[in-house]
Amino acid sequence: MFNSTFHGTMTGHGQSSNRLNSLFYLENVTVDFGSVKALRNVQLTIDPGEIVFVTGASGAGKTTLLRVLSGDIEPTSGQVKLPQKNVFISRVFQDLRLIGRLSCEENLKLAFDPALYNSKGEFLQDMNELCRIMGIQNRLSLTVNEANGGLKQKVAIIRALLARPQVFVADEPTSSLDADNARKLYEVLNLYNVKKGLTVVWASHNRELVKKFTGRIIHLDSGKLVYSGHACFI
Amino acid sequence: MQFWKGIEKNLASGFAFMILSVLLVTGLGQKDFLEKRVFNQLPSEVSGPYFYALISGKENHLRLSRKLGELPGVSLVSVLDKSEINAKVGEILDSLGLEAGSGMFDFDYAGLKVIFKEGISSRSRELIRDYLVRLAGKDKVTLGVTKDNDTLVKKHTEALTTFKRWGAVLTISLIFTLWLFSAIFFSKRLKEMCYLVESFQRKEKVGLKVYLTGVVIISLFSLQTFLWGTPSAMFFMVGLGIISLFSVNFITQYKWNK
Ligand SMILES: Nc1ncnc2c1ncn2[C@@H]1O[C@H](COP(=O)(O)OP(=O)(O)O)[C@@H](O)[C@H]1O
Ligand SMILES: [Mg+2]
Repeated sequence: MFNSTFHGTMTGHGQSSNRLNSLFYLENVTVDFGSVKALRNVQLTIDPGEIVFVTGASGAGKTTLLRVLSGDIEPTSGQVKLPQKNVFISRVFQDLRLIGRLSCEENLKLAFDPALYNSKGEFLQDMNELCRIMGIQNRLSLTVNEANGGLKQKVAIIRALLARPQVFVADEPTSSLDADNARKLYEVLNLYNVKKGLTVVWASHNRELVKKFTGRIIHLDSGKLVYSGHACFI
Repeated sequence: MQFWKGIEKNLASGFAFMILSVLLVTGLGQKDFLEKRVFNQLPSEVSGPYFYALISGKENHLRLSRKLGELPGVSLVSVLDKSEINAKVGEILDSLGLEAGSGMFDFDYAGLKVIFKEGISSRSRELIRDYLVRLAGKDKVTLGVTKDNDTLVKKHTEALTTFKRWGAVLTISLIFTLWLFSAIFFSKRLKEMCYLVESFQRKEKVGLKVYLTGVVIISLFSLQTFLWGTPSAMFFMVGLGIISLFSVNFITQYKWNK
């Protein structure tokens, strides 16, 4: 079992003492849904450029934590601070949020923000490159309704990356992917992390899977943050 | 531009919405035009007790028809054309108890259909018939018996009258209903798309902007209403108001439903 005293001592990764430099700073965050306590007194700092895996059983509060980080919901008590300015967070939602009647390609193109790319061509180049790496370049013309779970999930992931965010927040992004594809995703994210300083927050109930990747693990149990640190210490 | 993307990705519902919006504004503004110039121009049918009259061709039947038409108990006098007369001749001869082809009616004649006002007393009917006989001369005119319109014709006439009176309102209500459906349908799709644009592009209030652009375009297209005549300013504004008001839909944060 995890001991809550680990928290705060395992600071090798990202427990920044300088709150002003952090990306997210959560102070004593509690989220109630009626009588359900989805998060309880969560104390957490995430620094720019970190790769963080949020683990925990189903119902532990992973989705709720990601929603609080993205500003989707306000905590019932406690504070969420984003000390940096102009942080753009793009998300892979657990329910993917794709438009079923449109093709995979059209769904991806919804992420084309002309302010972020020199040209549409540059966007398409990025899009094709990511699709090639994820192995879906031949299936882009399928509508989302025709696509299988794995393809849909990849489209949602690539769309989030094409938004050129500072933070990539993904809720169970590999639930429909096998271990090989999960590793591919990790490698792509790691590349963006190294090259562009992308911060990654990746929630997964499959701790064994994410333990193989490099990054900080945050473990939730019934809404409590019970561990934060390297996988090797679990 | 976001507006064209919004329409492009929802071609059918987007165009349906735009066209219905323009129709709604035009219809409301031109309610008078619809009433007076469209529905009142429908051929009118008059129902009431009627009789046919055969008049010797030498008589000026148009004068007779005009004189009769001026009487308070008569709602309409129509001049029958030749083929209609031939069809009715048998009927009239029958009602007179005569046989067709008896040689008595081998001359040139004109036919009138005289329709009384609904609910006219039988005494007035007789007076009118006598008046016609006196006017034309006893031996120059042959009258058929007075008949009541059958209920089918009556119902038909009533329906037509109602339709003429309420047609414009009915049309506008129909357009409004269709518009409401298309607005709800289209705005749901638009909101969904704009939610995604806002989630993955650094943009805000995309739905509202797209919708308001739509309102401007609808207003411009609605100016064609002046081709039909000066619209009622109030109803024209009411139309645009309804469409503009629908934009409150886009102010609140969209919730993606699962
Ligand atoms: N919108 C909500 N309304 C009510 N209860 C919720 C809501 N979202 C989450 N919960 C509850 O909060 C707890 C944590 O949920 P969640 O954050 O989705 O967990 P996880 O993602 O780890 O499976 C669960 O008990 C869940 O039922
Ligand atoms: Mg979840």
